[in-house]
Amino acid sequence: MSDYNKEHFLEPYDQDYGLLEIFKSAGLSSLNKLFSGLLGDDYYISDINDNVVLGSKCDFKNQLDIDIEFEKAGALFYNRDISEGAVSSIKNTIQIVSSAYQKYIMASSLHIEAVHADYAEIKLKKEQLEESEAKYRELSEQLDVRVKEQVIEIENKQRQLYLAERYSAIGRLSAGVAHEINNPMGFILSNLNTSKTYLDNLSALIKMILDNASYDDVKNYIKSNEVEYDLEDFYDLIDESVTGGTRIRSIVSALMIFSDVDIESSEDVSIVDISNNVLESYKLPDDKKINICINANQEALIKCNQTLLMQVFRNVLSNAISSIETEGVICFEESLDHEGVCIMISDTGCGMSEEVLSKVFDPFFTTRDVGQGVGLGMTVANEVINTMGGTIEIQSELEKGTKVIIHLPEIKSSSDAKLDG
Amino acid sequence: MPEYDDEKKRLIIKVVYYGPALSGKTTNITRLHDLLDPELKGEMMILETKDDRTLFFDMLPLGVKTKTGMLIKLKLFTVPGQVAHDSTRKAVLSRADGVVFVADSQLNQKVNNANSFENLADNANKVGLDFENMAIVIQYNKRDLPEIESEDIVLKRWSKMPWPVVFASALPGDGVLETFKTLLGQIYTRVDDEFNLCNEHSLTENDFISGVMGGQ
Repeated sequence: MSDYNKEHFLEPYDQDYGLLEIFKSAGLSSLNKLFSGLLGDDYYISDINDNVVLGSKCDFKNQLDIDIEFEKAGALFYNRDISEGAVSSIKNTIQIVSSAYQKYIMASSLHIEAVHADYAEIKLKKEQLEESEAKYRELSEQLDVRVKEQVIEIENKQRQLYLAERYSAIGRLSAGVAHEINNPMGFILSNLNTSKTYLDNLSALIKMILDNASYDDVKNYIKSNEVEYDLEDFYDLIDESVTGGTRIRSIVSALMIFSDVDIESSEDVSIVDISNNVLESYKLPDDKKINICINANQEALIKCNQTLLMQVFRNVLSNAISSIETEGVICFEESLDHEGVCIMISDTGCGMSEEVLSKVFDPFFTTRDVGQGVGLGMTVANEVINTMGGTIEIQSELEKGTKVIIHLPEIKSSSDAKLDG
Repeated sequence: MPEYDDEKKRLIIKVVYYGPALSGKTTNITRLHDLLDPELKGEMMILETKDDRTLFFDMLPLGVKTKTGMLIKLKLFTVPGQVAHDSTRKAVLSRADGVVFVADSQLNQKVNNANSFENLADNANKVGLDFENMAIVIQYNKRDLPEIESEDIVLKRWSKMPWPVVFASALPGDGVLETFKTLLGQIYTRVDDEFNLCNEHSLTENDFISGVMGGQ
């Protein structure tokens, strides 16, 4: 018997069946009628273990063995004397009947066995399905956790990358600052030292005069010590030092912006307001004819640090103005794109060569004459926009003009619909 | 493994004719019923539906008595070949001691043969038979039809397998006995190993085969 049959108490369909089992499924009353008709009421059939399967036990004169599949399966006991032909017919009848019922039992057992096996297989498949479902559920949960972990990791990496970039920018800036401040400081100190020797000579001269030295002596002293020249040079040294000091002051004031960059104070502002504020505080030069146009939505608000954005506009505007020699147009335009808001400040000035363009954000890079600019304007602008999470891009063509395009990601608007207009 | 009843001195061996639908499994055992003349031959039990397709199984019991009085009973079964009856096929196959795989030689039956053989291997494993080591004979039936695979190709295909290949035309009866005889040889070896037929029951392989087949 297979394990499956044992488990489910199923008899194998292909087992040997005894007369008892075969006759149990037969229509006993009709069979009884058949045999009583042939043999009278005093007959019975018993199986190999003496169990009566048809008729009722009685005394008998005659016995007829019944075989199933080459083995004795039982016997028919009866009293009536019948012909040999009739005996043979009875034997055949029993054979046919038992064979038919055996077939029936086997087929039904086989059917039950198959149905059970089908059911077991379906059950197994269901269990497997549930198992794999649970596994997938677990996997998807794990996946969710893993994705979240990875997002955090990526964010950390991005922050680290940003900081590294900032540090390196600060490093470059520090080197520039050191150089730019050291230079004027050098000549200021040297000038002061030289001035001190001039002052020594002047002090000595004053002392001579107070000590009533003769006019000739004083004259001689002035001549031999070149006091007149010293005095002239003294003025030059002081002028030069004042220029140097002024330069240092403008560098330092530009650097002040950097200390404010990280302050996260944002407010809702409109591009129109910022542009107007910048233009009001900026004195356009009288010797140039410059038209300003502002093409932005007064109602549209973006969320940012107004002071810093104004600084950016001021720096860009300053470059735009100086790029225009005699007359030109400067435009402030605002538009929406799928990532946020886009602000374009364009001019019709002299434009930049590719070489200049490539250095435009470098600290202390300037094309202006000495004393006209410190070369921090676009550096500051870039730093500010980056801190706001945006980007700044410059397109320029010599003799045609320059476009400064600023993308800012975060938009806050009182009405998005209005922003579209 | 064959069922041995020590008390009744009876050994029952189960043989299953397996194969794709309409490959001639029932025809095989019908011909065996006609051609064999064993010591003991039972009535053939056929459970066919009206379109002659086997729904459950066919069964032919055969028997041989050893000199020591042991009855060896062989029960030949066929499985339903149609794909849909797989669970019945699997149940019929359970407890088999030998298998005749009846393949259809026709060219357009190659895929069906392959699928059915794979199904045999699969089901044998499912019902716990040792497929690798059991008695199996491959019969390529319907050699009398046109458009059949050549013997060379068939033999080449099966050359790396451990099972013997027999060619047959079951309808006229060719190769049916040879197939059965080949299987009996294989079964004898395995049964002798386990029940020591030769020494304990003085039943040689020849005695066994001729007993079952009846002087063929």
